[in-house]
Amino acid sequence: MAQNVGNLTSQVSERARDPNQTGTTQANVILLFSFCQQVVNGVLADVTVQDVLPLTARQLIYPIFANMPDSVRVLAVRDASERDLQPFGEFAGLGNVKNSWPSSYSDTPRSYAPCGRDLLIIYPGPTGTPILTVISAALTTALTLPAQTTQVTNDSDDAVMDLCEVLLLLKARDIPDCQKIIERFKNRMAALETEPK
Amino acid sequence: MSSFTDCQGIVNLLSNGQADTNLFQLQYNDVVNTLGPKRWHTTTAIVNVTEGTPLITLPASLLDLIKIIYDGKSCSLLELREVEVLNSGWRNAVGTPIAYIEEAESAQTVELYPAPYTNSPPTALAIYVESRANVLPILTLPVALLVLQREFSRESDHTSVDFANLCGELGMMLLDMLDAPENHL
Repeated sequence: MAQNVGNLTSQVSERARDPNQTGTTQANVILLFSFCQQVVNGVLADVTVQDVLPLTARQLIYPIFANMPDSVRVLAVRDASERDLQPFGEFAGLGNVKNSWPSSYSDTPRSYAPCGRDLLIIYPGPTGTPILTVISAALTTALTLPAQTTQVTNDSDDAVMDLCEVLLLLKARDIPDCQKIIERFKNRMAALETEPK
Repeated sequence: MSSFTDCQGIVNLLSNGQADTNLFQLQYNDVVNTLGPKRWHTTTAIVNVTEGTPLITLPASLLDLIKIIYDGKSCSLLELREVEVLNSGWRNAVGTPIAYIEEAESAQTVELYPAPYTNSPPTALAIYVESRANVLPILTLPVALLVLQREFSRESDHTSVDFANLCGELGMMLLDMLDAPENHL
């Protein structure tokens, strides 16, 4: 369930002992909250995005950000018949298949491998121009207004609030409290990461 | 808005306007360069080769070379000593490159082994990590924190080692969290 950004950011300001948002204005708290939501979702992948990736014949390597600007981390790739392509855990694994992998072509790609965070390798390269669907952790929408709602789950909202509180305490140079909240944020993220989705 | 501008906005906000705006670009570039080994900003470039010349020049924005592909085949990374063991006259060897050596004269060049027998085509393809003017949007907050670390640890009228350390610690922690296992090449 999405929660109201105005309510959440007011709570964060109150926790950072700035209930009237005089130290940091509401607009700035929302700005920081927005970046915190992006990071938390980048880790937890609560919100996903599906992008269409039209392939080019005999091309195996595709830039991610240029083709899918809202993709933060590729989670799965599907072909037109909704079958999952097999993920190669590591880019280096392709080299173990055969060293001519960059010139291996087939009618239907079978696997994919992210190379770093901005290249996606589709293997073997297509002989035609099939269309794939790429499912990724999404870059959440920028928040600017209190009337907007968060995109992550309620549990993850708590982590976003923790991280935003850390930033407000940092801004106020409240180092000891900041360290305590960083610990709380770390523990919360660890618990959320191991939680079944 | 670009991630560069967003990053500058966060630095200005969290520093309460104390950060030196003239130094931002330098500090931002420094942070982006240290991200190289994390392999966030991966890209490719086609490199033309010259007959009999092993040395190829890679793009100036290169931070970390991941792989060289020549004529559709993945080349192996070899150390100078390994090539010397393979062929003591390797510098004069000409043929289809099967390996590359990074211990060349500058960071932006590599040597192919053996040297290409013909001018391009075929070409070489470099897969590498580059330095970018705008980091990926997801990195905006961690990069801003690492810029703050640099700004507040340098000698100035607002030096604060505790604040700088905490910004650095938090920035690195967020980067590590975002650095999913599939990024490990």
